Amino acid sequence: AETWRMATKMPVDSPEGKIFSKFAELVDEHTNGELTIQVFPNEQLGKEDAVLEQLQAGIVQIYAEGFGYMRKWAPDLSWVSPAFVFDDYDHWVRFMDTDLVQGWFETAAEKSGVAPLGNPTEVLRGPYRVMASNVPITSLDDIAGLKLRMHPDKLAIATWDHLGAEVLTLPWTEVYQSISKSIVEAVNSPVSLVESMRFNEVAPYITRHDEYWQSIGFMMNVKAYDALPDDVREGLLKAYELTGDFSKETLDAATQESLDRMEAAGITYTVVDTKPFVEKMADFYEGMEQAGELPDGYLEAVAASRAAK
Amino acid sequence: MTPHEYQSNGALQRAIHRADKIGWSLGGAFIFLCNLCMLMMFLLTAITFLIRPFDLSAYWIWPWTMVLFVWLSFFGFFAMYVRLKDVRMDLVAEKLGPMGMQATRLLTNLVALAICGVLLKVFPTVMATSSGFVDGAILPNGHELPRQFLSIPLFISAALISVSALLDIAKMLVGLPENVSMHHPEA
Amino acid sequence: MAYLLFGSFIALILLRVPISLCIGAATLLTFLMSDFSSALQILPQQMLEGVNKASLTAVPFFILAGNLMNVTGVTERIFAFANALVGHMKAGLAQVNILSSMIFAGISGAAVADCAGLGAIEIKAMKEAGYRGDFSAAVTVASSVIGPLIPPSIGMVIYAFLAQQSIERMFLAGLVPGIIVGLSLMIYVRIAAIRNDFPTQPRATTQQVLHSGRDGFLALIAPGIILGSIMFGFVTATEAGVLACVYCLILGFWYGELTWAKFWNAITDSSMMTAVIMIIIAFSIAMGWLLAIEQAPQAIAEHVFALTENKNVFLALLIVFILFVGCVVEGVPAKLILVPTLLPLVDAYGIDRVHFGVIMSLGLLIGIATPPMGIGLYIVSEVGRVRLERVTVAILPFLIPLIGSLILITYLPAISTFLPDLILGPDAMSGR
Ligand code: NA
Ligand code: NA
Repeated sequence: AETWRMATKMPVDSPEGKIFSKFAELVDEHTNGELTIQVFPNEQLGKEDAVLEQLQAGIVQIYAEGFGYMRKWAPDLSWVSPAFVFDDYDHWVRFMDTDLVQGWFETAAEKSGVAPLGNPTEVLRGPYRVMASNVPITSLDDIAGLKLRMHPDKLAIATWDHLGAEVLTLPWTEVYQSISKSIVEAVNSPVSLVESMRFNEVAPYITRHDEYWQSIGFMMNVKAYDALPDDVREGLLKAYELTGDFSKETLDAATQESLDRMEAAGITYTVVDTKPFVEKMADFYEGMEQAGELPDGYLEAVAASRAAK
Repeated sequence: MTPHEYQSNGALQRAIHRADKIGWSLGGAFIFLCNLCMLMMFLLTAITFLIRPFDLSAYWIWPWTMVLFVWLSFFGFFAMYVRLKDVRMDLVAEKLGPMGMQATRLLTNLVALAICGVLLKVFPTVMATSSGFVDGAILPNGHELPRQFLSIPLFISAALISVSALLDIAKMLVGLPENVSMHHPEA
Repeated sequence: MAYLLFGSFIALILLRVPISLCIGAATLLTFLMSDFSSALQILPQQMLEGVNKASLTAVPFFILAGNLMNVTGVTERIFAFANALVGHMKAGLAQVNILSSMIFAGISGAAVADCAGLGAIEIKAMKEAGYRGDFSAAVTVASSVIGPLIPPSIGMVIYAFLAQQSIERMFLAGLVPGIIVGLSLMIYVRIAAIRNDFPTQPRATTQQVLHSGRDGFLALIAPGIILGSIMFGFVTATEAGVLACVYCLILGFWYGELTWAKFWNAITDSSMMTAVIMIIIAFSIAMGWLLAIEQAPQAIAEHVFALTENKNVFLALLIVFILFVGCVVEGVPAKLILVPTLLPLVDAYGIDRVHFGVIMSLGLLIGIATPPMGIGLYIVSEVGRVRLERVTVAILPFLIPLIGSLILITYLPAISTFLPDLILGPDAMSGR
């Protein structure tokens, strides 16, 4: 029997942490105990770059985090979750399945020996993006002049700047205090974190804008995967697939409960129309394409995956 | 006792003494580097909260503060080693007499060589795998700082500590005294 | 593995190896004996992880603030004001020594700045007034324990990062315990004054109090400004450290005591002290990685849990253990080794992590005043020109109020948790 080490950032008792425990349980079940997943939560083994290096070296076999971190091996992978490019979730899933994106993953795998386990959109993160603000947001117009907190990321800053917001960079842990002092008015967040970060206490308007979709990548060491016997590999894939189903169910349920609780405590929840955002960003991305800042064939692939196959 | 406080006789001793003085001065240069990193961190952080009331922020400030902090720590590794800023406990060695002092002096050099030797041995591996860039730490040309530059000062310090340890062993062999300080930092 | 780790570490310390190398060598040795002996690239990788931590950037500035106070005349003014207030009491200057440390603690984050800077002034004044040198030095070391309890505090920053608590919460948690330690020392000195014939000073006139108060006023409001701006969210902990430094610089100009040479010396002392701490942290994080991947803390936790299920018995074992470790290992590395090892246990017994942080901080701080790794003892013997052996003996009675306070704080968790819960609300958010 084999043991795989799996590193994660999240605490065991967080919604994502529970998904990882379930994965470990399912792997045990579907490989008849031939493969054990030992989870190391809370960044115990280090932050992203350190863990990815350990993954490369085969010290860790799975790292569950956003695929964006693989951009160090294939820079185009920074483009798996761009803001306001896709019409809806299904559009994004179709895009992730294109040869273009698969090609990026292959480039990364050749360079690093690290690749996604199974379908890269199986396990959702979020499950969707919202903005928490201390002023009401009902449409794109309300973004104009909004003081918005951002992480130090050039593209994200440029994006929201283009949408009209006044962007300020602040550490994630300072957000609560900063909104309460009106240093900023709003923050973007996965809906699942709003309540645990207590943003609802200082920013009582929660607006679903579906900024982008994101999955939790199960990045794995390819060599370790190839070394598994066929039946164990099948069991592992099966377990991963079932974990995907489990993640959708539990995240949906947990999100609904959290929203209900916050609404009972007085927050206003709105769903804003994403279409005007996507339209407004179109010329931004056109400009980037012309400046050669987008991966080759990017907008083409986005357009091609727009119509359902 | 510092290299500027002891005497040397004969060509061999004098040559080693000169090398010791160079190492000591190099330690001073590294202290200067550390101070520079610290002053830059100080200024960047001060700017951050001074411009915040005007709704201003520059996203590269924080990442660069972190880079400077890493460099301060890693350049400081050599500086504090060669300038004897670290804490050591003399009590037991003193009880053991002159032999105790000599033996522990040799032990310290060997320990330093072992640690820094291992660090230098894995240097190529670390350089090969630490690909990517430091998010937000932009350079004047618009690119971000490659991640390798975070660890390079650690390896420079490790190399210089190894040389210092070898030099001190050479000093022992030709009968020159150990550099010591009365400094007790850290708590 | 744990035996190898601690054993080699302590042996090397006793053999005069610099402490950062001791922790590095112990880590390296343990790596070589583990399943990961062929993955030594982890060592520099985790060293980088250790120093590349945002929350630790507060460390150099809290050190610098203490050093700046010492070179800008702020320290003298704090001392003069405390002298005008309590100098007339029985064992007056001893009380002044303790009160000064409590005020000093509001700006400085390190005990060493207290011993080295404030301590030099205090011991000199006490000796001139006719106190015995060893007693003066002992009061100084004992009261320097207060510095890192009353916020700001380097130890609390490091604990907050290790235990995933917010820095603000840990700062507030240390405030009342810090005051309790100060009061217990003052009470002890008062009792000691019954049997000893300490020199006395006349009561300061109202005018003298006002005069020194005016001189020291600017220094006295600094702690309020610093703590206040962290609590009200104007600045982060790191920025508060910078703010404290800026404030000290302004005061230095105001008092006309700041020179470029003094400033540069303060920077050098601080950057070197930071480097020592950070290199120790770097090696410890590598060690922490090994402990984590070998799941050592969980194993130890199971072991201890088998001993007792009673929380109070566990707490008693805990403080004995921490005091013991504090005697032989320096505060920062001790925390780095102990916190990840003990947290699973602390959680299992249902002990509040904030409360545990205060117990551990005070427990390890007492180590400043105990041989063999009693850094405070070395410093005061140096700056106060008192023989180390004599201070070591003179400090012993002071362990009674110090350990008494530790026991009080251990068995009354509310002393630590009441204030942060009141101001920040009950803990809901972990440090991420
Ligand atoms: Na303090
Ligand atoms: Na004192």
